[in-house]
Amino acid sequence: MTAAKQEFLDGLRLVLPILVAPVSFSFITGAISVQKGLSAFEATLMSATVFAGGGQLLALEVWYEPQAWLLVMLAAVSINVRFALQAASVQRKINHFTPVQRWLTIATLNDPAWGMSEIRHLSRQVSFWFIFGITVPIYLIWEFGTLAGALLGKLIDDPTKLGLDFAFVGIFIALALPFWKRSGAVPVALASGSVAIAAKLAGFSAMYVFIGAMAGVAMAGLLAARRAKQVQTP
Amino acid sequence: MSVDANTLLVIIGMALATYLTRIAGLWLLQLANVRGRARSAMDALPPAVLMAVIAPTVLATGLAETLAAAVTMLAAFRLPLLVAVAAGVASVVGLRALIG
Repeated sequence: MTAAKQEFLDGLRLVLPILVAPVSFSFITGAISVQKGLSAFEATLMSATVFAGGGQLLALEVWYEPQAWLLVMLAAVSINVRFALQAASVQRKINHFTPVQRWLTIATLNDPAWGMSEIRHLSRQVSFWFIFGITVPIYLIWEFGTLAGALLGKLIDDPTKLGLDFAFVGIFIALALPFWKRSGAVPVALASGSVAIAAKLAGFSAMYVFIGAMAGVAMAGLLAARRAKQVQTP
Repeated sequence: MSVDANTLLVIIGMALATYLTRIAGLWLLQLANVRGRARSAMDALPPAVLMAVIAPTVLATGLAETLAAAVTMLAAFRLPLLVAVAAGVASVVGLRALIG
């Protein structure tokens, strides 16, 4: 077995257990799309080209006929700003990729691929095929799940009854564990968590992830500045 | 198969806008030469983003979500990811039924 194939299978094995989340989210996205007046084809096209569940769901929230296209685009962007942060963080770990591999990775960046790459980077180098082993199944499920939801969505009335809305956060909780052991993680987590909660309660229903994450990053910068000062003044 | 021209344009706009947010992450770093303090800040991005996603749902939604998050975390220390997430989903269903 080649190294690339082994890496692909590594990614695939890691992502398989969590595929329940994209299955349910894409199904819900397809069902809501049809409720909002999109055809099944349009819903699937949106999933294939946008490929971002949170952004699609929020855009559909503000989707009326005829569409306020600027509002819809703003909705999609505001919840997807975290991609800019995730791409900025992961790109330093994929410098050894070819330019095409790097572009493909960033253009299809998704939460599981990002999170699992960051965790893998804690112990070894991340490869393109590893990331692809995570992204390919998620991308395929995203399209077929949206189509299925668009065609069969009327069958489930309330997805929160099945607790599926919690699957996404549950995955993030489990993904976050390896980072707590690193030094300085606690103040960063406190800053980003508390600011994110405050932002959400203040009504930033889409931007709170970005705002909270920036607070965490600022805290890390402050801590580093203080450490540097202590070194300079003995 | 029906495609409305206006809808198609909005979908293309969303796709482009989302693509730009992903690609913007590359530009961010090419502008700034990342060393020292900025580097420490960048290293904090993964836990910062994860925490900003988790905290509002876990602590500011309801008691059922808070308890289910604790179950997920405890399970994730010992058990595989799937089992931990399944335990979280199962407990959120049960707790919502019990305490609303």
